[in-house]
Amino acid sequence: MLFNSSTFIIFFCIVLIISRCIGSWTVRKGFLLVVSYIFYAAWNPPLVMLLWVSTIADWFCAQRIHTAPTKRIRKLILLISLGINLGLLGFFKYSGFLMDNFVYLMNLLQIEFSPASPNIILPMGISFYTFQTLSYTIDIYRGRSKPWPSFLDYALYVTFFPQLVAGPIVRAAQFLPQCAEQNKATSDQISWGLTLLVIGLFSKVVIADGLTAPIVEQVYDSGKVPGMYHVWVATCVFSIQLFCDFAGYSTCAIGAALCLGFKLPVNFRYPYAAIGFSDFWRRWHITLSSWLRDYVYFALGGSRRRGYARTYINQMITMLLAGLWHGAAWTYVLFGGLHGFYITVERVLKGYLGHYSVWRLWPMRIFFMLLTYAGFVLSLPVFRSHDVSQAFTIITSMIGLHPLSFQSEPILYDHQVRIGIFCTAGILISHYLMRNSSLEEAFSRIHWSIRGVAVAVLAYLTLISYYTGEDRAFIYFQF
Amino acid sequence: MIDKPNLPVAPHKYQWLFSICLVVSLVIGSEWYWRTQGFMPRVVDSDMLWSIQRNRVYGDSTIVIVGSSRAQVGIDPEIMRLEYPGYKIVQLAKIGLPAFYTLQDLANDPNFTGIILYSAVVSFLANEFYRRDQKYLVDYYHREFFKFRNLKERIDTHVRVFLQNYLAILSQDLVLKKIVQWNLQNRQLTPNYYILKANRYRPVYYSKMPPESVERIRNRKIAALTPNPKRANNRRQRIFQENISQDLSHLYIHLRQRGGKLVFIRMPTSGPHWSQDTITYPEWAYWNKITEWTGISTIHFRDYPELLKYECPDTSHLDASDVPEFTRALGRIIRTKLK
Repeated sequence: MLFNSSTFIIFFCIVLIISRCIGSWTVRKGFLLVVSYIFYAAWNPPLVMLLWVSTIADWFCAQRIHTAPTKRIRKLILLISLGINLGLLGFFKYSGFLMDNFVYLMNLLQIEFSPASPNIILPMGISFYTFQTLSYTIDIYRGRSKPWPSFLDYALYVTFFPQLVAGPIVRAAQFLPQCAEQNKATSDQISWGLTLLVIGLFSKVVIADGLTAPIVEQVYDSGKVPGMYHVWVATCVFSIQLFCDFAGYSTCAIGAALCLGFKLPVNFRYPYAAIGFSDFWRRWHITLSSWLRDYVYFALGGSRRRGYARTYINQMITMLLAGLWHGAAWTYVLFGGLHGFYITVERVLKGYLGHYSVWRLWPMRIFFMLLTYAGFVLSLPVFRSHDVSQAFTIITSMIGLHPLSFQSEPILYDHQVRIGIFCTAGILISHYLMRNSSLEEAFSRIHWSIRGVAVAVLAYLTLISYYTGEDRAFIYFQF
Repeated sequence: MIDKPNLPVAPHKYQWLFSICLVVSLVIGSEWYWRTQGFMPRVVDSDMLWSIQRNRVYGDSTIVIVGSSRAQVGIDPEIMRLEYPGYKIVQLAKIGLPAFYTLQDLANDPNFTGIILYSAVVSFLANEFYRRDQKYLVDYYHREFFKFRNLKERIDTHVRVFLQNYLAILSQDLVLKKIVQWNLQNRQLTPNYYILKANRYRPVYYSKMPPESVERIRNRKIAALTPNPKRANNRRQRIFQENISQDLSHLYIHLRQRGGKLVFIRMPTSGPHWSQDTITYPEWAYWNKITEWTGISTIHFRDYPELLKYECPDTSHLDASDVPEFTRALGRIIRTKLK
């Protein structure tokens, strides 16, 4: 079920009303668990079983890890948990990719090998809920938390529908304590939750789907080599589409959860105002980058051991895994690799540039912000392209090295270029202005009547855009 | 734990009441504006919408309209319902697609016992390739419509169609992207006079169009006609005979055994379109043979003065202003035929 659908709006209204009518906290949690399974089953009912496997396996593994008498047994149980979770993830998400590469390798070696197509469905949200359950067992293994006493709470943590299919990736320590005590949303929370839902849907339906997606599709799906100017416009517009799509989903998820009395972590903090790539990843898909930092980067040794070279390698491995998390394709691996390279270069340069006050002047900050954004945009063709060769063509066209960079026919119309530039500039300026702030703070500063007008206009535009436009799934659903 | 954000504090009830009133005002205001500009509500057709209608055909008192554009444009189910009180009228005609596959599907459906009004186009029936054109719709209905995973789309379609049926602002002619584009280009949006209603009736308002647009459409239709129509030939006649006397008569027998009824209707055409049909598919060699070979009741617009009086502005489809009267007259003729 998608947030941007009439079905979800009806579903959510029913859930909200019933959950508020239920007095008993345990019954309400049970109700939320059942509706979360219905939410997931609306896409493909049999795959709910995967959720059950993941939930039950990690619940028991965590209990056993905690009570295991020796470190060796604890490690063994952790490995079982990792094996089950990563095994499922690997089978459903990466087996096709591995097989394709194996076939390619065989063909390179002149060995004829043509296996039957596996035809495996990628279960929606598997990357998200797998990471959630993994964090629970790993935290218990590391002794950072204890097994939660209630299975109902734990199952709700894994399955809670607002964050189930596209995050934010919530940690057990962030969610489970909220289940411990009676948790009914206040009128402030419901009001703000609904406002976030409107803002999130506006981002997705109006900006991502209505205004920006057609421009991006015209360039990336045209099969032609775009000229330098149009490819930059389309890729900048794609950065806006991607942000509004994914941040829109996260905002909806946070809003929906808040209406039900649960707080989810922020997933985006104005990433296009980032200065440097380390800062960027502290603002973009925060719950994934912090997960990778805590469970991969630190596990590899982080920046504390064996000098610079090892730190750079750890960074690169972490970013390659971040890329691969997004999808089973070399383009995503390259995307991660490129960001690993950016972070490494930034770290090296920081050492040379030193901490002078000149870097903190606003023109320099804007310059570095735009430089970071340009670097991000330059990495996006590998994310959006259908294959590595298209990504290569587009990047070479962007940097003027393609023979057709300056000669190819225009792909976009003038009005599309203007819409693209307007959307890009609008989002960049808003990110810069909101860099050290939050939506809550910004909305708190304005009078309620202006807030009411803003919500009404966004809701109206969302309504007309949704019913007149095409249905598009959230980009991050495929991950 | 997650930091507790400082949520905006406000008189929430007033704020939301104010927002809701404002949204309603914006909807009413913009609806009024676009209607004054000539825009009409227009539903988006889809496989799901067709399947929702297809799923309504069951029950004894059902009349199903099957055919292509002429039936979808020329028969208003709402008017037909007034002619047949107590009957469900289902519009399954689909613009641009010969409907034999749908007819076959209904005739072979053991649970269907209603009346089929089949808008027959002789040129389609005298062609080997006409059979499978609506197959994808029929397949979608049987394979996808009942799946649990498509329940969401069904609900979405019901809500979407309900809203689009009443609000012009939700018509695809008024997509935000298009409004922005036309404003940037300093062009004026022009209304679309081809619309679709929730019951899949597709009126075309030629009478509201600028005359030059109607002329352009008419000329395009005429240009698409075969320049030198060939007279009836043996091969076409043979195919027609095979299709009618074998396939159709079998289907008709199946349908009749269950108490179902079938009426073939020849919808009006005019000008060069009609002239060409009379040369290529003369009635004596084609249309008149249908009843002779199968016993199926037929209604040809030429045989009824009340159906003959209409001029098709584009030579092939009725104007929306003529449809109510045409539908009423057709309804009366069908009643006499089926007695």
